[in-house]
Amino acid sequence: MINIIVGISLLLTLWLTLFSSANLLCSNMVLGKITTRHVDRWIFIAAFPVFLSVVIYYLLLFNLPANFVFGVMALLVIGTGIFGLPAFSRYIYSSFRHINSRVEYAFIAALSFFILISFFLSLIMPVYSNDLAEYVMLSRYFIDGNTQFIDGERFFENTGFYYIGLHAPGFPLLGAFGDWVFSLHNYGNAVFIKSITGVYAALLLFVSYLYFKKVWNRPIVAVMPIFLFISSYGVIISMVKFHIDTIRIFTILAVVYVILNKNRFSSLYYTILGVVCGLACFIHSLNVFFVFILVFIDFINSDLRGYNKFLKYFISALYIIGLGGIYYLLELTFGSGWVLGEL
Amino acid sequence: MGLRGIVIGRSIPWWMPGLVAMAFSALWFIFYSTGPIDSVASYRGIDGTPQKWFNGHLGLFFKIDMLGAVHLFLLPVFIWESLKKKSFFKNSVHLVWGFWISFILVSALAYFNYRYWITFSLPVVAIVFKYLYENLRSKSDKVLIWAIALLLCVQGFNIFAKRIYNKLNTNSITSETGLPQKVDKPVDASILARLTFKPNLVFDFFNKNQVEGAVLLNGLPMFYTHCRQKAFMYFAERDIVYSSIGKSHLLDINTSSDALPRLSLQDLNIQYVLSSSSHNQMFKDFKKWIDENCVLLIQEGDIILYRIEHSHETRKST
Repeated sequence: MINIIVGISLLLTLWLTLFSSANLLCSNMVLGKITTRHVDRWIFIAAFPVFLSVVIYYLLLFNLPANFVFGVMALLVIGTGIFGLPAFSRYIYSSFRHINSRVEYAFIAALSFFILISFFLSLIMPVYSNDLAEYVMLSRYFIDGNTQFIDGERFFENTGFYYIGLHAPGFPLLGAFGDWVFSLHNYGNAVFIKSITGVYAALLLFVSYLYFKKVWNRPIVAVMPIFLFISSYGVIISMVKFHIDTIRIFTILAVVYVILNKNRFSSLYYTILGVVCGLACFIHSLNVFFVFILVFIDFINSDLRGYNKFLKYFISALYIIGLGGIYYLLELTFGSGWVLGEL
Repeated sequence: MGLRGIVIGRSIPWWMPGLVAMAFSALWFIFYSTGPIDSVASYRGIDGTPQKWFNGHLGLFFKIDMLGAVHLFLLPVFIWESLKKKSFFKNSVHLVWGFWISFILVSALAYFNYRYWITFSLPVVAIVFKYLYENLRSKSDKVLIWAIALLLCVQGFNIFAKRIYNKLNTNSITSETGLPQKVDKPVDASILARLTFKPNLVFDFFNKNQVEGAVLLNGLPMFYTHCRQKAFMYFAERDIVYSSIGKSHLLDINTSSDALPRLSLQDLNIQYVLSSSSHNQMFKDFKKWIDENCVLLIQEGDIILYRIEHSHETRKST
């Protein structure tokens, strides 16, 4: 029982530190000057862990020792997280201060309860499903300093494991980061990677609620589509069963949100679009196709004309390649050929 | 209010999409109950031409056992709104195009797994809800709440109907596909025991003893996360083993069109097979091979550990 309580506390602390760090680095420094909307801030807060995995990917790509990489990242996150905790607390307080509806209280209480239950299950449930087992194996190799997968080699001689997925390593790298930190406390048994599902499920519901509340301006109305969404059996399964789905859906819906609200971001829109799209690509290969379609449609629909239009979207494309597309380019040129190859 | 008023006018009755959804639910049952062919496809509900289309390629709208009937409401919304002069989607036509192109992409490439359709779920729900809200805004909140309640009832009906249908028809599914009842976790155990279930006897066999030889994993990579024994992945449905030599076939029968080399069990020192009763059924020749060449060592829940008694090479020499 003590183990469970300590484990849940550690998970909460690490996620809070991550989001606090994200709030300081992304929201306060970058977004603070552009927008004050809660949805924008929460999307950037939720995207920060993926950005962290991109940074880890680059550092491992240049063959830096894994312990050094994870150690530096942990110090950075914990340092900025602690430093940014007062600002994050103030932000949370200011967000919740406006709650005056029982529906809203009930919704937030239900989400908090869901996160606690999800953390509890992350601690007690073994790695059982096939896809999760593969991601966990990759994350363990990253923690052990074996980065041959990043170099394009899929067969691991010591165990006989063969990774047959097509996706960039955003999810396992994020899991590796958390589980590296937890291994210092003997909670390194893939607990963090399992908790990602629950956290991003809660974020998906919370950010959707904030968006719907902005659209309809009434808590009772904003909760109704959320109810409809979670009434699907498949949605419930994907939120409860540990998998990549919730973070995949969250990142691609963030892209849709940014495109829907392009007028608000003014000249920074193309940078923000590139960043969000790149991070979505780094999580899942299906997102690459979705991003291509969405950016192409946005390009066609854009009010810009001529050279300026191409330049702006070229900048977006550079961000997309730099943050997520690089993995797929390397796979196509030096690796297994991604979707063109045979796995 | 004539027919034109119902279809094209502003006052579309909110119960009409509900009736459409109910009607399609009945259709879905008809399609679902036709004879299954392939066990993997049967598990995914796409085992036959109508199922492949309705539960697969058009799964976003018709796979209502997993996604719910709310998605089905989007079709009448799209059709009716495209007939109007002032469309519901007038401010976001480009995103509607994005939606349809993405839909075609998933429909063509990733239709086999309902999880990919869930990506669309939240936008679909938001569109359907916005549509209902804008049509019912002039009326009271009660009407809106009752409309949503009806939608939730339709959702619940489909979810529970699928479970009841499966319970009633387990025997017929088993006899036609060879797909057994799912017994991967102990049914009579407590919820906590079921949640924390893993085949500890199998894992202890490798972790607590000095066992020689590698293991062939029939689609169970969880073995890697619990044991340090060397193991190779095998996918019975495609008869492909992934090992240091790349891809190879385990059995004589090539299931795919490409000619892959045949695996030598002795070269890789494979002496055990870890599978499950449901995974065994994925490929009938594999089940036959197991019955002829392997001895059951441990069975725990659905998970079964075999020891290989006669490898290909031994069988040939004898």
